[in-house]
Amino acid sequence: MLYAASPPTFRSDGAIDSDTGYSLIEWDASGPATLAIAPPGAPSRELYSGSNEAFFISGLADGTYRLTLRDASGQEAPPLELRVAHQSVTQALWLVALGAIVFLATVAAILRGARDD
Amino acid sequence: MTKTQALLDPTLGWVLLAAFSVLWVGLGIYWGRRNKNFEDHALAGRNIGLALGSATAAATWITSNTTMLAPQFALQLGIWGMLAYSTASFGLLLFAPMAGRIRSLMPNGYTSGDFFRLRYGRVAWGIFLVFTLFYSLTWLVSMAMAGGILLNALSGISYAWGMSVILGVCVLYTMRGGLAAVIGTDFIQSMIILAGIVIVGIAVLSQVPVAEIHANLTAERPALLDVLFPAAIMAIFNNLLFGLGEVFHNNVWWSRAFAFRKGVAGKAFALGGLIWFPVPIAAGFIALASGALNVPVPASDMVGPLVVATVLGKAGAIGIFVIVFCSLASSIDSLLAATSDLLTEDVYRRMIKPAATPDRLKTVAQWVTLGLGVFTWAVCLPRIGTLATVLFFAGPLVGAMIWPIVTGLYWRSATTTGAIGGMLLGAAAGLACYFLIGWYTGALVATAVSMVWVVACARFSAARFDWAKLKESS
Amino acid sequence: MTFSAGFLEVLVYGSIAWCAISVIGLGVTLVPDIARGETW
Repeated sequence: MLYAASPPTFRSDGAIDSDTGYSLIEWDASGPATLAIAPPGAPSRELYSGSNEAFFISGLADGTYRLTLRDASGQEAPPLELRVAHQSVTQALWLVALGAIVFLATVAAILRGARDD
Repeated sequence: MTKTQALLDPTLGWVLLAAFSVLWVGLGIYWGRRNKNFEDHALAGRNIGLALGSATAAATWITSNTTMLAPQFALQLGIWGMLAYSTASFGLLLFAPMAGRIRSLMPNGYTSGDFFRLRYGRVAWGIFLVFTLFYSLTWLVSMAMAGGILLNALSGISYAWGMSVILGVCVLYTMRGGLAAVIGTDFIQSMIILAGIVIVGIAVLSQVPVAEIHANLTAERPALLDVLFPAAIMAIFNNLLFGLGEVFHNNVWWSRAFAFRKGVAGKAFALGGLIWFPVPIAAGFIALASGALNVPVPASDMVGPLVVATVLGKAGAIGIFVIVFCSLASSIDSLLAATSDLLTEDVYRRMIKPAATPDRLKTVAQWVTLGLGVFTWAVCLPRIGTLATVLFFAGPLVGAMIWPIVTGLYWRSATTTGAIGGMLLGAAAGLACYFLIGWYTGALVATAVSMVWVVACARFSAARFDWAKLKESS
Repeated sequence: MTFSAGFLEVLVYGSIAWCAISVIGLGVTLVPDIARGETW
């Protein structure tokens, strides 16, 4: 009798949180597996099918995504939640403003050149 | 760790590695024969022309980070990520007017350390040396490690061998040929890198039109196209200021300002910046095509090579191998040369043996280059992955040096108190924010705090610096 | 607000063309330097 291969599993213990919209999804599987993602309120779509054991996902908008993993025999891993909450746009814009001021001051100092000599 | 298949077989990898190693070392030995003394060795006789000058500015700034990290940045941070990366060219563009001034204020200067010592005194000089050595050595270590890792991923050559060969080759030709060898090879390397990027870009576009890439991103990775993608827009000015700090303080760039022929420095840095500007976009956009081309990416730092190998097959893999090798060599050699000159001039000559003859200094510089190579090799061998991330701590350190340097070159009222306080307060505030708020604030806060302190000190100072003090005779 | 396909197109083609011009430009700049003996 053949031993039944163990079902694939995600390597992350609990849900993954991301404030950048990207994350590396890793799993263990004894053969090829199929990774799929279900965006909030939308049907699941396949991301990858093959023998790699990792997939780099990026560019996700805010929301909670459900990742599923299935091997060739149809065995499924417990689904993984990926929660994306981007950082505050307000904070980002303040930093852009501060950066712009410091940069323009530097440019001005260089282009103005030597003074009082 | 997921095992990814190497793109080339190791035998072909070794053949390519051997061919380029022989070429660089041969040219280094050949060009090194013109060097009679320390000035020839360290500054190529202060006579570099426009073509070689522009090429070396661009090539040195194109590191393995530019050709490999740009696609990773694009995949993580999207269109803003590529544009944020391109802003690093402002470092070269803004250094252009400064280089001309450096050349005329310090006709006999050798290093950026000379400037700190003569302009702000020994305490500021000491702080500068600590900051710049931390930055230069971590940059060197991170590139040598990247070399081993990339050659391993591309061709299956083991990490230890790949890292040792690339470092050994660079040490050998830099030691023998000095700055002339570095700049000569930089010209060839920059032509190869730029041509390679153009060929790869056209090949990718022939497989998938931009409209399709855009449609795929809209459907699957919408944040990458978002104009208000928070993580990406926060990166813009932090990156920009990091780049400014890197270029303004480091002896890699100052030694070039001293080495370029009179009247060439400004033009060469400006052209170098213009040549560099599109590189992160042209090299990075291929990552955005990974979705439309159905290339699965098991590790974000391998996205560039994976897309290229999918589109161009074996030829593409060879191309990427050559581009990576050239990008690494063109930066490692410059950093070895400039750091060894800094240690020779600022530590050996100024602190240990002021009476050393020019001939003796050249020999010392060669041994220091070898020593740096051995040190880097020993640090890289255990392959401690976290070491490369230490480079990011340098952001606050280099950001804090921007204003002391700029005002030191242009304002007679800039003071030693301003420079020392600016460097220490800026670096401390930047590092604190880096750890308390996030990496995207490090260089930004450091530059801002340092700027306020330096400007305030200059405003309330009655002292006026005498520029003639910078013209120390050699 | 998102970057349009047209913008991406200009960015990508523009940067590749720019790199191509840089290669040719560098090669062309070397010629007068050699002719005048001012390479280095």
